[in-house]
Amino acid sequence: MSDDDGGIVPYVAFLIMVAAGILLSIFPMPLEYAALRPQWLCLIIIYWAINSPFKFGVVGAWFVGMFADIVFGSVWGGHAAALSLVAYLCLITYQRVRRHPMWQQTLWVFMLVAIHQTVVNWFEGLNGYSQQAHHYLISIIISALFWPVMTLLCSVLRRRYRFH
Amino acid sequence: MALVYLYTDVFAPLKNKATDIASPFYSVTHFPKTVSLWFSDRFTSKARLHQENKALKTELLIHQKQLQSMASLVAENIRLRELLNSSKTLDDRVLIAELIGVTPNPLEHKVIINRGSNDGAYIGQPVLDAMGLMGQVVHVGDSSAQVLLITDSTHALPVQLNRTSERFVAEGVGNLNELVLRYVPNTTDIQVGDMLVSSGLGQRFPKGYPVAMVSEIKRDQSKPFVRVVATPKARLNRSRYVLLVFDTAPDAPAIGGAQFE
Repeated sequence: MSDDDGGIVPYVAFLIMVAAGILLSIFPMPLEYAALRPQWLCLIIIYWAINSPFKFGVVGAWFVGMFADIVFGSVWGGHAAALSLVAYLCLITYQRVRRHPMWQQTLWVFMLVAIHQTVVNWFEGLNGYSQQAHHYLISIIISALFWPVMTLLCSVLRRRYRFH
Repeated sequence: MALVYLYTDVFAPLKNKATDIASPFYSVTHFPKTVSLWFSDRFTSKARLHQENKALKTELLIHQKQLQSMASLVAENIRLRELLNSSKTLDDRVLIAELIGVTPNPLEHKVIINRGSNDGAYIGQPVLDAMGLMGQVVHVGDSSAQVLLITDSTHALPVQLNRTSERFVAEGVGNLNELVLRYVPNTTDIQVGDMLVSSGLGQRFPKGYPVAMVSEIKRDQSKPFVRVVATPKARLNRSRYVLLVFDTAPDAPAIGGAQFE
C-alpha cells in the first residue's frame, strides 16, 4: 500500500459506517420482522477486512463488536468474538475473495455471516437466550443478499473520495 | 475470545455506564417516532380535538368519583390493620417514563426508558403501565435505564390468584403474550378468566397490582401439575408511557413486627 492512501478519510468513513450499522440494527421494527434483519455490522466488517486488510483487522473488529454488545445489551464479548473470528477469516483469504465473481463472493459472505450468527448464539446461550439454528437462517440469507448492494455502494463512495 | 466470563463476573458498575453509552443510539432511532407523533398532534382537525377533549373529561370525572370512594376504603383499611396489629402497607410514589427503545435481540425482552439515576430510578425498581405490571429495572445509567419485561424467558414473578389468594410463580417464556404458571397442583381451584395479581412476596414488586389473566388450562391427569397459561394485562408491545414505582420501606419488618411490640 502506498503512502497516498487517503489519510484519515478511511477511518472516518469506517466509523460512520459502523455507527450507521448500529443504528440500523436497533431501529424499532415490528416483532415478526425483527428476526429477519440483515447483520449490518458483520457485512461492514467483512467489507473493510477484505478491501482494507492492513488498516482494519481483528483488533478493530473486536472493538466494534464490544461496542455493539454494549449497545445491544447482549452478553459482553459475544459480538466481539464473532466479529473478530469473521475478520480473521477474511484476513487470511482476502486475496482470493477479491477476485471472485459476485455470486461466489455472496456465497462466501453467507458462510461468514452464518459463522457470526452461530458464535453470537453460543454467547447468548450463556445468558439463557439461545435459539435454534433454523430461526436465524433467513436473516443470514438476507444479509448475504445485501452484500452486492453494499459492495456497489461502497465502491462508488470510494471512487468519489478516492481512498483505499 | 475468553471474554466469556466477562458477563458473569464483577462488571456491575460498568454495566450501568454502558446504559449511558447505548442510550443516545436508542434516542436517535426513537426520533422519527417522536417527529411523526408531533406531526399527527399538530395536524388533527379541531372537531376531533373537541371530541377527544370531551371524552377525556368524562373519563376523568369517572376516575375522580372512583378515587373518592377509594379514599374512604384506604382509611378503613389502615384502621383495620392497626386493629389487627399488622404492618403498614407501602406508600407508592410513581414517576412517568417514556419508552425510547427495545433491545434488538428478539428473544430478550428488554426495553430502554428515558429515566435514569438522575431521576431517582434504581436497580430492581418495578415498572408498570396503565393496565398492569410490566417488569423491573435491571441496569441504570444517568439518564436512561434498561427494564426487563415479565415475559422474558429469564424472569419469574410471584403472583396470587385474586379469587382464592393462592400463590404461584409466573414465569416468562419469551412470548410477549404468554406467562406460564409452573407447579400448579392438579387439585387447584383455577379457572380461565381468573385474574392474577402480584403477591408482594420477594420484596421486589408491590402487592396487589394486576399482572395477567388466565387464558388456558391444560389438565393432564397423568401428570402431577397443570399447565396454566396467562395473558399479561400490560400492553407490553404497545405501551409508550410507563410508571416507575418507588417503594418506601415499611416501618417494621413484616414478619417480626408483631412479636417485638
